[in-house]
Amino acid sequence: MSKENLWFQARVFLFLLLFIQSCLIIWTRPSLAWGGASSSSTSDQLRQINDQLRQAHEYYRRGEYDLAAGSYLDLIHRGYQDAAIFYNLGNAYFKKGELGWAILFYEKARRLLPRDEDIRENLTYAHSLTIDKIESKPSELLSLVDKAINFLSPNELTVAAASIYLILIVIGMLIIWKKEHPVRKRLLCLLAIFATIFILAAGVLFYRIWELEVAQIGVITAKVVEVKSGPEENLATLFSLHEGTTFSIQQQRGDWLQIAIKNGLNGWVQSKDIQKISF
Amino acid sequence: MTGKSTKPIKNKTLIKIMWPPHAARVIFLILFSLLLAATAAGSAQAQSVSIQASVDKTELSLDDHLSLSVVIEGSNIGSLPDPELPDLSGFSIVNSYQGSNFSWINAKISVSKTIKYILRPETVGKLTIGAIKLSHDGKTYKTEPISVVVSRSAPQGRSSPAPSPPFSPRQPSRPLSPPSPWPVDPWAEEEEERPARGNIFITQTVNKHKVYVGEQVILTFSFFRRIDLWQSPTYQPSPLEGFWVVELDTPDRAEIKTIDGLPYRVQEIKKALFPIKAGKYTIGPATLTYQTGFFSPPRRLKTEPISIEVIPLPEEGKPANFSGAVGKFTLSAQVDTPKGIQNEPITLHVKIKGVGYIEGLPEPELSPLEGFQKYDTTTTQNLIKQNELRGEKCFDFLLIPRLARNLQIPSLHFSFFNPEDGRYHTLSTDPILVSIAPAAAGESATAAAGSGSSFGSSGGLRGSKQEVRPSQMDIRYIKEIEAKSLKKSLFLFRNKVFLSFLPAPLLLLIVCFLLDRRMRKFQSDQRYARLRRAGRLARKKLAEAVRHDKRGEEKEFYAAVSKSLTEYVADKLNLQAAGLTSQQMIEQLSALGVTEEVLNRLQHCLDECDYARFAPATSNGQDRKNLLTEAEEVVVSLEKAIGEKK
Repeated sequence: MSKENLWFQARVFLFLLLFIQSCLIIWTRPSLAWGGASSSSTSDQLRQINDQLRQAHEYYRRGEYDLAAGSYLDLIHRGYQDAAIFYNLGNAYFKKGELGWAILFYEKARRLLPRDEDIRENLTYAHSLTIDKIESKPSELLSLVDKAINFLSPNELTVAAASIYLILIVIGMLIIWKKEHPVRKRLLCLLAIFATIFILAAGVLFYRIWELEVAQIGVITAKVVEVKSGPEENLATLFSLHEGTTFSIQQQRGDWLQIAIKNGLNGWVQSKDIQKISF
Repeated sequence: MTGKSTKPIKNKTLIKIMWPPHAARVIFLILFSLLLAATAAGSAQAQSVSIQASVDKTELSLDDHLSLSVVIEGSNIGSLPDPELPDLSGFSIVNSYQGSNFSWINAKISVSKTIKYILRPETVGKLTIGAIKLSHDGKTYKTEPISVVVSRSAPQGRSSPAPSPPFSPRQPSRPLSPPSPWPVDPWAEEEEERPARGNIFITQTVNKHKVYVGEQVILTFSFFRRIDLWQSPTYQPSPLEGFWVVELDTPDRAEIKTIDGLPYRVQEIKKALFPIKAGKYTIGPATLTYQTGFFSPPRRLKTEPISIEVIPLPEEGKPANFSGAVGKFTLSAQVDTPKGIQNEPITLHVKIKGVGYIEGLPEPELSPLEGFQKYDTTTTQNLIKQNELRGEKCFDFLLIPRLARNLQIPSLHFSFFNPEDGRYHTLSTDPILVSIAPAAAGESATAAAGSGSSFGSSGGLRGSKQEVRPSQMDIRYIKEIEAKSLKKSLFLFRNKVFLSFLPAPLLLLIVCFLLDRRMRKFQSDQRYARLRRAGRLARKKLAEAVRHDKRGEEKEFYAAVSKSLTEYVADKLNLQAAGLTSQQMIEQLSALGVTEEVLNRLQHCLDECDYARFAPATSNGQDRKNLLTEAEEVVVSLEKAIGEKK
């Protein structure tokens, strides 16, 4: 064994690493077109979208909320799922008097931009207009934790977690490199601190991802919904809910969904009367 | 608009008065039986029962009917049994009918039960109806036998003009009691077109003949009688097209009125009429069909038609918010609590009270409410239907205060036309002030503004600061969006490119770690190997030196010995042999703890080699042999010394 031998091995390792990375990139080829709309769309498209946005704004200003809502919905269906569009669409629905739909889109906007004051304010106001009053008392601590968890948007959280991850890797490299250096002890200390932050950030991120992808939250969009005791029209009506009330979806059976509201009541509704807060 | 006027009129009230319904009768009888039992208890007074039988005629033809009436009288009908009919040979029973009568005369109860049999003769000749028996209290009562002559053709000189069975099928209008199944021939009723003021007569009147559209008109139908009726009369009301009709309550008891010095029992049916359209209307006649006795034919009475002129409401002075209310009304409004809580509903009760068509009253208009959200209105009405239609209609507005401060419910307005003075009136309520306490903390961010401030004082104090508070709640305005800032990608964690780059740094770290470990191991391996093979290589070199010595190559001999020693030490110290001076060797070895003696001998060997290599003097064999031995001894002792250390 010689030094040349060792360098050869290092080169093989690096080559393998590059190979794996390029394989991953090839696998993700379809989604390579990532980034802002500006980067992937031509200036023509950009102008067209701008026109549509201005048109929708004008409709809203004139009080033609139906048309404004339609315009914003079209943009969303074309893939521009932006918090501001969700917010404007929620406003249009609010003005139309469809409180359930307004709350749906405000909730969506809030999930993307949790610290935006306009969104929060309108959502609070819309919630205050709902008819159903559901008794649930979240403790102070719980609401504080909730606030902390929802302080950053999912993307911000992702970037934060990824950055801390990179820092951890760099610290790890330094520790390997500076084996007999007196700095090593300090590096280990730093590693511990960043690892703790990373675990926290990753935990919150995974909770948020779980919330967005797995946990199903819904909003009543029909004016009044009779909540049945089972997935059948002619079963007993347990209670009725009005538009704008949020709930969690527990299971789905055909056209029927089992839902639970905050105070623990539970029943079945038809999927046409509700909308899921999902992206 | 035929409306309510043509639908079947409920004449139940009339039935109640004229003839108690069956159930009520039974209850009455039971009650009176009990009373009787109480009064007659212990007394020797036996119940007197009598039975009588009669026929309506004694001569009849074969195609005629014979009516046989059996009347049982007693003081307790509950115990009155059915009579036993004799053998009625020669007759067939077509039908039978039972009726009961009940009277209270001089504190004595008398009950009679009449059973009517309709018989059809089957043979010609003289037929006899045998004695009808009745067993009661161990006694048997009998009737006298009755003889009837049946002829083949119609008998001549018949006394009764009506060949009638006493009960006719009802006229097809509205019977007051269920029609009895009476299969005999229909029979013409006698009509009294213009009833004289006889024992029975009817009238129909209205209180006004000239009215406004929507004004209340009372239509009164009166039934006067001086005699008892066999059966409840049949009343057919006038058709009332063009009016909204509300039936008014009928008094439960018949009044006694004296007309032309004669007492009459009067029963009235009143209806409140509300003309729908202007024009001239005629209320057609109402009819009443009655029967005075068991055997008398039904008679029909008719009232005079009534003409009414309906005039339109004046256009002059008609308020903008007039919605057709005619009559006389009052308006009041109040809230259920003057102190509300934000987002908790309060109720505004608005009450319109008065005389007129209450059911048709529209909801009073509530002008836009500031700070309130209005929900559904519930309406309740309470009608009084005595003599005229009056009552109240309550509108409950459910309001949810959205702001936590003093809120004002503005005045409500209601307009109506009063036909009495022929003018329009507009009623207004006072505005109502409601103080709204903020909802529980955290309920609404907007609740904080303006809570607890007094509404009145802020306006009254000149120069005092006014709090800035929202007068109306609204959502925040939409955002301006630039197309450039729009992103198609929603979440970074869904982006596969981003995700695919995530493992790379970790893999790099792992690679670095592995390489580092291999490097270290390799380095330590090399050192170990040199350490291990140092002794062996030194001996090899010395053996080579011996070979040089034998061939007489002196210089090569010394070079080989020097090299063997130098390389040996370099291997032991994991250093490069080239350029390693004896000075360095001594230093490094002494650092490892090799003894002075061994080092001196090493120094000596190396010096001798150098001297011999570079000095041209020749050396003897013994010197070379000694050097070789010394070098071997140095290697052995070094091997020991370093080996022990490692």
